[in-house]
Amino acid sequence: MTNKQQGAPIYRPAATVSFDCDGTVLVARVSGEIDHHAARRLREEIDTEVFRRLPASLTLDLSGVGFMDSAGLGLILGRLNLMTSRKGFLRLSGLNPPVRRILSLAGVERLPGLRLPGRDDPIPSGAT
Amino acid sequence: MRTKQTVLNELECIFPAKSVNEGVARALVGTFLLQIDPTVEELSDLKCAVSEAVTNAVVHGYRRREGDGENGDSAIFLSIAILPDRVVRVTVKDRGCGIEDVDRARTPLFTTDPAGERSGMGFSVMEAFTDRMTVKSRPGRGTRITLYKKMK
Repeated sequence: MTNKQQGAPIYRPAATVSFDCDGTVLVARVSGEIDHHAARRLREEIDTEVFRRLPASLTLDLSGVGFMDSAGLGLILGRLNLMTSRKGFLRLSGLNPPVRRILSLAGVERLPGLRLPGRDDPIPSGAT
Repeated sequence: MRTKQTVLNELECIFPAKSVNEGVARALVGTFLLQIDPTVEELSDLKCAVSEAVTNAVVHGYRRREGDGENGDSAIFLSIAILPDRVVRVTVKDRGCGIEDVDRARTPLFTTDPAGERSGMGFSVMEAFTDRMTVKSRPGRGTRITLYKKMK
């Protein structure tokens, strides 16, 4: 969060996101630590891009994420809601041990619309 | 009534209930516990539990919602203590609104803030990632969460 206005503090974001889109698949590459503080901003940035690109699927590439707590879970579940409400799906990739730990604690493997590494259905081209 | 525990070393901090301080609290735990050389996994688990506790104080204790202005009177007290036998005790205390029904709050998936995309998993994470968690709360007075974890 940066604000160059007079007197305002400048915070270096602890988590950042960059995007790649090939038309139907939007990839959001997240780096850093996903806690409640980071999730607030990540949520807005990702949703803005989803509504800009209108992809059939969203991939959250978490390979750069070294920490995630339940706020990160909330971020993922919120994006899952967003994509399933648009008849799409959410894929997670690059799951590091701390991220896997919290995901398995929450038992998110069986949620409809969620694709995890190693459990993907083959995606026919052109189909959602 | 808490019996007096032997404390080998302890760090006590006070900071405002700003969300940016969730990461600061994790870093403080990590830095302070280097001296007992924990494994990456157990330290990571404890930092996650502390992150949950501090977040609860920020989000719920002081009812800080997105867009809220600064509230100068919103202190969070963090204490990290090294006890004998490689037991670590972390206490997160606030003087916020308190919890009406602690048992209900500790129910998995229960949240009073669904609009904020809270998953309701905070207490579940704290319980799973530590050996023992106690919650003491008085509505209108505040909440104290104590986490114990024995490091290998």
